[in-house]
Amino acid sequence: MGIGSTVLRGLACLVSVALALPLQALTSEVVRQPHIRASLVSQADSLQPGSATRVGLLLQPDEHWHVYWRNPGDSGMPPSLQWQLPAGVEAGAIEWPFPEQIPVQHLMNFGYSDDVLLPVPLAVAGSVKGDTAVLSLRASWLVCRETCVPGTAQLRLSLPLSAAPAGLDAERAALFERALARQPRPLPLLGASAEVGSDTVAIDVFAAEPVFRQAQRLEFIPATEGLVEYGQAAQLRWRDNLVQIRQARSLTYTGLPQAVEGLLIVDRQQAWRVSFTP
Amino acid sequence: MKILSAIALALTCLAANIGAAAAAINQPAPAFSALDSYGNRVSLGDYADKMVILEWTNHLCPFVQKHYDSGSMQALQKKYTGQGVVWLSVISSAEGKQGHVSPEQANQLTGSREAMPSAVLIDAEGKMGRLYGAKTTPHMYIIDRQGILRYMGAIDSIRSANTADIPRATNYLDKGMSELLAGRPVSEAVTRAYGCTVKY
Repeated sequence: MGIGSTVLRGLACLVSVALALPLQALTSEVVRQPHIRASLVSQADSLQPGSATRVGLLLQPDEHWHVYWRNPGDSGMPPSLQWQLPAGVEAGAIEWPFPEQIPVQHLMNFGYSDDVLLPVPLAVAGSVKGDTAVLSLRASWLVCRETCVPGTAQLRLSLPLSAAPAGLDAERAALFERALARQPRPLPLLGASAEVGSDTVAIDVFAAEPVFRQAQRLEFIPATEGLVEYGQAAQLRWRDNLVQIRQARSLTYTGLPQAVEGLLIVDRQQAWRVSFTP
Repeated sequence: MKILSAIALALTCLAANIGAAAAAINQPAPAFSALDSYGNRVSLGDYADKMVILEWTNHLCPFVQKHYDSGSMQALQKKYTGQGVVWLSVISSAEGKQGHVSPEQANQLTGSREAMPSAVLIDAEGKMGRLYGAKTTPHMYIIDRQGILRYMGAIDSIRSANTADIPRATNYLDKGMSELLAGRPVSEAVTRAYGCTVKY
């Protein structure tokens, strides 16, 4: 029994080493910039022509520092990506994980104060030929604590092209799983309304399912700009499939937008994306 | 329903607290009074019949540096003060926070950057900043000759800290001023300001 488990541990160790070796190639060099590290990570160990996969920008701010969501709130700037890709390889839009609220005095930001992977879908055309594909990314961001430092990194990732289905690597898969679990899911609606008074905005959301029944805590994070005052806390009431949001009107409100969009985050676990025409 | 009414009341109070005279577009600009970097008291009322540009600033903010390192902010200051427009740079950084400066430092910064504002206002208590809802540096406002707020928002259309983006961007302040001086309404009167948080 003792010998058996030793052998097993030894085997497990060998397997880990064997798995770990090719992983190096699935992550770009980690670029260290003031208050943050940045790298480009691949979900799969190869690119298969005629299929889709994901890569992601891994941003690792120092403790107490943060980067921003697509709507950064009252200040700040979301990360931006400029790709240089081989012909036939196309990158989609960032799949933003839901953010956290980061208050600054009477103002509010939306962003990430922990490591965050920003996944990007990658479509590889069937016509792509060769042994390897080189993905180049120029990533820019703003990292802030109380002060802010803009940063840029040129990241490069070389991936083998393979006709066989691409394998998923466990360590990277966990990073992507976490980011994908934090993707807001579209909330199917029975109806929704937004009414704007001189001081407040009233948003009522009727979901198709009673998804808020078990919620202990609910947060509203607006994606639409110029509607509500981010720094004035939203008052939320919810029951079963109904959420009522009351928040101060934005100081820069000029009229109802074409679409009202925001996230409803349940217990910091799951986010619903609400989008409707008011 | 009771809870809802209570919430509505609380929100009304909150909104009232933001300031009965909070800055709103196409409404009379809130009256302010602050000391400039030479110790003179400057009030909006001093500038009847003049157009006034307000520029929130923090010389250590990368977004402010973008517009000063390129010379673009100074060029706008020169262009408009040369036409009799009053340009007030406002520093709302609290004492001990980034961008807070003594009056002497403010004057040195004006000199070293060859800036040409009409005055630099020191608003370390953040009163004027809160009154105008200034959130970022830079954050720009235009007040017309009748004292009506005609523009509030970003300096330009590309939200970045990169100097190279300036020539490609639409400068909202320049555009708004040109329209007003030509007797036309400001076509984009409210935009979302971008930059560093004002260090209240």
